[in-house]
Amino acid sequence: MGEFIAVYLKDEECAAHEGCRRLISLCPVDIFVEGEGGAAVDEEQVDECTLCGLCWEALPDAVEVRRLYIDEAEARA
Amino acid sequence: MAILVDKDTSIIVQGITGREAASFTKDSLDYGARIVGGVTPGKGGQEVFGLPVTDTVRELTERFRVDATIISVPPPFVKDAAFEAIENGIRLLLVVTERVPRRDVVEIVELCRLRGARMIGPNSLGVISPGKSRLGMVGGPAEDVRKSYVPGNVGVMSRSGGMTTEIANLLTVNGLGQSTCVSVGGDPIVGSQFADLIDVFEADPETHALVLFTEPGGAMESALAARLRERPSRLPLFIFIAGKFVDQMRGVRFGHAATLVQSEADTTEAKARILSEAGVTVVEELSALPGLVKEALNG
Amino acid sequence: MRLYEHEGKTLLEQAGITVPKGTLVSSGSAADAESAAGAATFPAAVKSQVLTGGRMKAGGIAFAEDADQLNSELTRLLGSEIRGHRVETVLVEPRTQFDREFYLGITYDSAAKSAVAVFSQAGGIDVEQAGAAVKAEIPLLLPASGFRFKELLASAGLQGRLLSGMTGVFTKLAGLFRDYDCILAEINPLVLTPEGKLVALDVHVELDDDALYRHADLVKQFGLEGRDADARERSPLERKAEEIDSADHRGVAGRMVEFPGNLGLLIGGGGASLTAFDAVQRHGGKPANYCEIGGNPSVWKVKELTKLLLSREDVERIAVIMNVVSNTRVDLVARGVVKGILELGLDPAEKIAIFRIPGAWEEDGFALLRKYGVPYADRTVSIDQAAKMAVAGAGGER
Repeated sequence: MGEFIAVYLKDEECAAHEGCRRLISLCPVDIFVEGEGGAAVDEEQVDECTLCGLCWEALPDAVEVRRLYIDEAEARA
Repeated sequence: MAILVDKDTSIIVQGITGREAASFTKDSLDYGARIVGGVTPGKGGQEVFGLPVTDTVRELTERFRVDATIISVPPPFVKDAAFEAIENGIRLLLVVTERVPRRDVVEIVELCRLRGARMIGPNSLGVISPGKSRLGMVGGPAEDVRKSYVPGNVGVMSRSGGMTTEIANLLTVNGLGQSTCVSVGGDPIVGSQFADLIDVFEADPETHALVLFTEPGGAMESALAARLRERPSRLPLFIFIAGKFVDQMRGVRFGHAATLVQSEADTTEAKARILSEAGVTVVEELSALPGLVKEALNG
Repeated sequence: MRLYEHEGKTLLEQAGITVPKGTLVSSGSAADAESAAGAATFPAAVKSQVLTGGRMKAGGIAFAEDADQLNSELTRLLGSEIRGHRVETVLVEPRTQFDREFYLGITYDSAAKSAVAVFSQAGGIDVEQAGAAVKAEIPLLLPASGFRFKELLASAGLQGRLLSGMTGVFTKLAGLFRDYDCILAEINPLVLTPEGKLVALDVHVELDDDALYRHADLVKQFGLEGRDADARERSPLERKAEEIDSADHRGVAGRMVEFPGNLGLLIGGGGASLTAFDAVQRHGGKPANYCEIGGNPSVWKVKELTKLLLSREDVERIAVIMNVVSNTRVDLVARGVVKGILELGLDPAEKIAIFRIPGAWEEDGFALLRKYGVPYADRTVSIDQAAKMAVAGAGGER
């Protein structure tokens, strides 16, 4: 988790998606890196997230991005 | 009728498939600009936002009336792109690209003179006639443009692209709309300076006052002062000169490429003096600007 | 980028303009100095190679009648400072006798938007004050043509052999100006020797930094790679800011100039940064620095710059002020500033005097700042009002 942004990858969903690894090249600010069974989140990098939506639009069930500076109810980007 | 760019100004984008150009093309279409196509050599036949992309300017000028072009190509290609536009009959060029070699800029200016064309920029964010159209990227995405710019009767010219929007916003939040706002470009030599464009604003019945933003360095202000001494303006003129601290910092560049004090004439103090003598109101504090403009418009 | 005199003379020579035959002596090489002294023709001119004007008045140019005098002048000059510039090399030339001095220059006139040739019969160190110069615009679209210079020189009263000779030199100088993308090519003085020869005694060449990419030969010949575009010495903090800027291509942030105050500034873009700096001073604030940010910098870049500013012990707080932004994002700058302060173990609410950046993604940016209690201002607060708040320490909304 970053200071301002949290990016969650749901492992079971991610594993079910053959294409999870494509998040690595998709993300313009390199938040995703090679991980076991696919992609992993580089926690050092998550605060660079521009909320562009490419990741959650590509894999809506596997990726969740939350803005930690917004009240709980509306935090989901 | 707005000046320079209006609702029916037909526009092309040279370098339309570039990252920045694609982005401002989309934003401009959202804002209502009449962009009819774009040029990227080697990518002819593609489409961008439903617009045709061609290899040459000629393919577009043969199909459409083209009033203006936005040039957003890397610095080494700017001169050729500009020559191509001018030689195909386009009479208004906006050059967005920064860091264009000075010799190339001067050669473009010379060809413009020969053919009766006008260049705005290089290093210009663009021209906007609020509520009508926009040439370039000044103000950003359409929704942001609408927050900062509203239609009205104050013209704006600025050597800083960011301050073009800042000043429009300052006028807007104080209930003053704008006729046309021009980011003239922050480079040492630009195609259209204050003294070149003031005639265009004076000829515009929708412009009732003109606000200028400038910085240390360059000779744009002395050229304007000379023009005003020769022929005073019908418009109340206001100028805000930023960078007083640079007066004491000879030889050090701040911000834009042209913002450098090398001699006495480059200082904000010298500029304020000659412009004030030429009848321009020199605004000391930015927040005082809207009040002064209102006074002039109502007086 | 300004060239050293000896580099300028190399270009003149290549262009066919006569210059004295000189030898270059570097600091730290005694062998150089000895061979220079052995090879020199006396009387000799001993000229420090520094990137500044006014060398004569500052004692950077001397004359030597013999080898002993030359050695003592070399010892005095090498390693010394002339107008704040350290002397690394010295040019030793035979001293040229002359009857007359002239000024020849080609540069750009930004108001005329044209190249211009400038000539004065009053060459020498105070030509700028002499005033008796004539000027002509030189078109660049057409091939260089000697008649333009002949006309100009004739209008200044030159005649006969001098007119022809000077026309030749001026035309060659104009060719050099164009071919190498100069923004200034100036010979001052060009002298007329008793034998009737025209010799360039000093030259000032400035290259267009934006056109260097098409002069790989010059960059290699003179080792221009990495030479500072302006000759100002950078402080360690300013160098560090440049490193941060170049470590990450996203955005521009790091054009830093230090000042002796206590209020750190992160300001932008080009025009607004000047406006904000002036406004801080106007309201009695003491800026610790100028640092322009823009072009949508990464969170990392803003964070590192924030930490760098606060690393100076006399910097108490920072003010973050930009014009209404459309490309740079409010939320990303806010993240960078807050994160930098948190990493230093400090409280953003205490350390940020004001955050005034309206525009793209302002809702997210302001929400973030509210969470950390940082005083911020929106687009209804002008740049100078924001500067006033920063100085007063009153802050805006939290």
